[in-house]
Amino acid sequence: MSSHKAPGLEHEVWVPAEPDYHGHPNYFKIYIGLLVLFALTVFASFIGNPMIVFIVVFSISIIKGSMVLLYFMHLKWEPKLIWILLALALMTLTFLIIGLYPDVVPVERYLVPKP
Amino acid sequence: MNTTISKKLTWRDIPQARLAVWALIAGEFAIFGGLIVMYILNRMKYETWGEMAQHTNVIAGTINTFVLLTSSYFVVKAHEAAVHRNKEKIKMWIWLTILCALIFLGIKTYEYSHEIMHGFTLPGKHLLAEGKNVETMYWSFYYTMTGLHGLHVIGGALALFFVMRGVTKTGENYHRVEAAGLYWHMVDIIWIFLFPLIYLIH
Amino acid sequence: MNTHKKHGFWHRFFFSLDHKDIGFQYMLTIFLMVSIGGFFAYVFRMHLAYPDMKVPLFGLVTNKDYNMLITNHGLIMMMWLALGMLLAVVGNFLIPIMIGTDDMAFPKLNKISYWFFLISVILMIASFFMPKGGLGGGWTLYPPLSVGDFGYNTPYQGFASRFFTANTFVLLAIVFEFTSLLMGGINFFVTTLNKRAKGMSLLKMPIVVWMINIASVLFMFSVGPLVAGTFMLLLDINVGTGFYDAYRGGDPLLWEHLFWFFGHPEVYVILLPPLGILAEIISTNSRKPLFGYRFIINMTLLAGVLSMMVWAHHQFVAGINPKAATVFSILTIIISLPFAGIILAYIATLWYGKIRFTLPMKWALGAVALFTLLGGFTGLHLGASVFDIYAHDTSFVVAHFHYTLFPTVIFGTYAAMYFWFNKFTGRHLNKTLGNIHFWLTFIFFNGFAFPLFLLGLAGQHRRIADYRQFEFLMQDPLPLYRQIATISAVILILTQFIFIFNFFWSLKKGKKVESNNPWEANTLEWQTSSPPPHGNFAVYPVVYHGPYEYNMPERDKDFTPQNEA
Repeated sequence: MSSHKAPGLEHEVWVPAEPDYHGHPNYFKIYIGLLVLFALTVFASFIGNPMIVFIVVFSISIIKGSMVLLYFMHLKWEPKLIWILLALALMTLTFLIIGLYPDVVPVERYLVPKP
Repeated sequence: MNTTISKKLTWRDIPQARLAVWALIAGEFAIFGGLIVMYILNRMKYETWGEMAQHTNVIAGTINTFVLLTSSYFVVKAHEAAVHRNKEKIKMWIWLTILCALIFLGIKTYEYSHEIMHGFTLPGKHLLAEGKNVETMYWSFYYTMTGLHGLHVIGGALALFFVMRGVTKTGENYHRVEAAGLYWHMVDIIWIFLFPLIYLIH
Repeated sequence: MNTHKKHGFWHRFFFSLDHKDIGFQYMLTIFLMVSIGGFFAYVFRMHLAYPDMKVPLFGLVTNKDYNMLITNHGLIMMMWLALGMLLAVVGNFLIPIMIGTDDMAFPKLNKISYWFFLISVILMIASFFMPKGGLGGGWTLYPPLSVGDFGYNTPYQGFASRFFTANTFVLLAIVFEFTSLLMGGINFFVTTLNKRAKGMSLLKMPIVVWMINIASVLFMFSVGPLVAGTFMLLLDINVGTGFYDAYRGGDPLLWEHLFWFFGHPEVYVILLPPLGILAEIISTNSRKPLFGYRFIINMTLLAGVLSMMVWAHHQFVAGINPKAATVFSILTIIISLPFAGIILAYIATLWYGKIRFTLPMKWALGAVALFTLLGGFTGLHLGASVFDIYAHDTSFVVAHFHYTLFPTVIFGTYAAMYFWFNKFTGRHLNKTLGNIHFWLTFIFFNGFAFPLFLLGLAGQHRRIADYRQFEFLMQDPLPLYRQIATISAVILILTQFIFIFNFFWSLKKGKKVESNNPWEANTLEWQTSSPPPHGNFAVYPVVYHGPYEYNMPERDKDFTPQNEA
């Protein structure tokens, strides 16, 4: 990163502790892992019960997403602030789904007939 | 705040470009997450959507997922090349990523045209005519979610292209490769969730 | 610090990347918007009190006009005035200079944010001139009404007739505005984290900077589902999807949930920056440290999280699950606690302080009093779902939200203006005019809003163009209350012209400041020249302690600037 800062503002240039402070996992291994999980997802869709399919498939998606987040996006080595930001997004979605559920799923709204 | 050359990181030490992109990613998760939450709740409510899901092209979706996963791998290799300041490799990996984006969009276009020709449109007038009102919502969600995602694929690919050009021309700002790459990974993660929810659950 | 030749007004308007210039641009644009919103309020209030009168400067108000006026008044004030002034203007002016740096982290992104905001203003104003007239569905945009009379169950007429409507343009304006604020929010957040002066830890920042950042983050997350929902509504209007159409398995209630999922955190988003401003002013004008700095921050964070769990108190009578209503009711009452704590901390700051009744202090004290006693308490009333069943959609709600919004947004903005005007312009606002402005505003705001509580309890519903059709609402003294409210409102609006005159006159001809720090305040912006140069500081400050070291026993001055060791 270049450091063309006005005199007195040099402290704003971020200098990492080591040249690249986050680890370099074996990206290829992670990629293969993702493909394996992807294949599992596709096979899982052939199970009969839709509820079980949903749970299995969604869980695998969560694992895949986490792998991309943690390793490809280096979340594992990022400071806690980023984890907090993502946790806030997750919290938002949790409140949304809990709040919306009672008014969407168990409800039989009167389907207005077309005039 | 950061004065010495070598220092332990605090819980919030992160260069500003990366911080900005992560903040953007968190915000986009809230947007797409909202759409996905609405889709899941409605899907749980209307079982007849399951038969509509059978009309999606699972093979096309599978190929697209494979393409996006691979593009994520390419973009992280581009980041590795950026860490080593290797301009040629950066160019190669990013072009490969953009190629994947184009393949994805091409397959998506093929899928859309097929579905539209079969009458599964965004407003779903043909289905309405058949009396299948509730099923039209499945397609409304399908086009909205995949369409918005497609726009983000285009945006992400453009960002990667401009970053690559900037870096190879000036030889500065290598950190931007990672920032644009982060955005691309977000696009991939969204698809990781969209694909099974739309295509696979019957 | 940059040195470059003086530029003309238009050159600065288009190209300046300086956060102070951009803040000023936002401010001028918002002055325009608030004039329109205030004018609408004048027109419909005149119509409510004197129904058949031709309102001066407008004409006869038809029912359709009335709907358009109230809807756009609400939209403009909530979306453009409140969010714009309190996030964009306050954040742009204050954040870089209070943390001791030269500009925002991403000045070009800041510029682009302004352009998106301007586009949103143009789209919004354009919506008034659409073939079918301005939007008339209520500022909350509930479908199916907001989908328009060409929406559900109507034969498809062609894209253009659906696109060139106020409904589409208002929604597009909102999308552009949200994008502008999201970009701005990221800018504020990154600037605050990465560009603070040496020695300024997060807990040594002025609390207003904390508040703006928490507000920006809260905005970012709560707006996500609504952005998705807005696209869905746009598709419903223009393409004929059925997301909110019960006939197609959609649900109008879904929009209500999405809107209020954002709408409730939004009112806290616009509450937090004024609370921060009030804290700064109260502390400086009491010559005492702010009581409970960390306590206030923790309460704010708690309130932020809780605010995402209470939204359906706007929907108690909309047909939501009654068990859910109970949960939301309890959480709503609980959320009053952190804010009560914050106000108590402000009162503790005032306690035994050497109070200086400067003009900003008058606005601040007025804001705290009205917000807490009349706005906050009636919020508890409305939070209890059983009372809300009676009071929902009556003028009681209107009075409640005007008593929460006006003291914070308007009084808070004026407090900030009177406090910081001399810093950013190098001239003082006229004190006599300022005092007249304050007292008239205070008196006539109460004259306008208080009768609305009484009218609401008597059963007067809102969004009704003509009360003469209701016998029970025409009995004395209700029409009198309506007239008192209207006349007070008109005088209130006229009083604001005093401020506008004062503002623009003082820009050019006001008394020049005699010192950089007329309020004898501690924060960093007061330690540089008035107005600050490009880059804000001739020498970038180093911070040694927090901003609230007033009347420290070991010092001889009663204040200690942050950059003084």
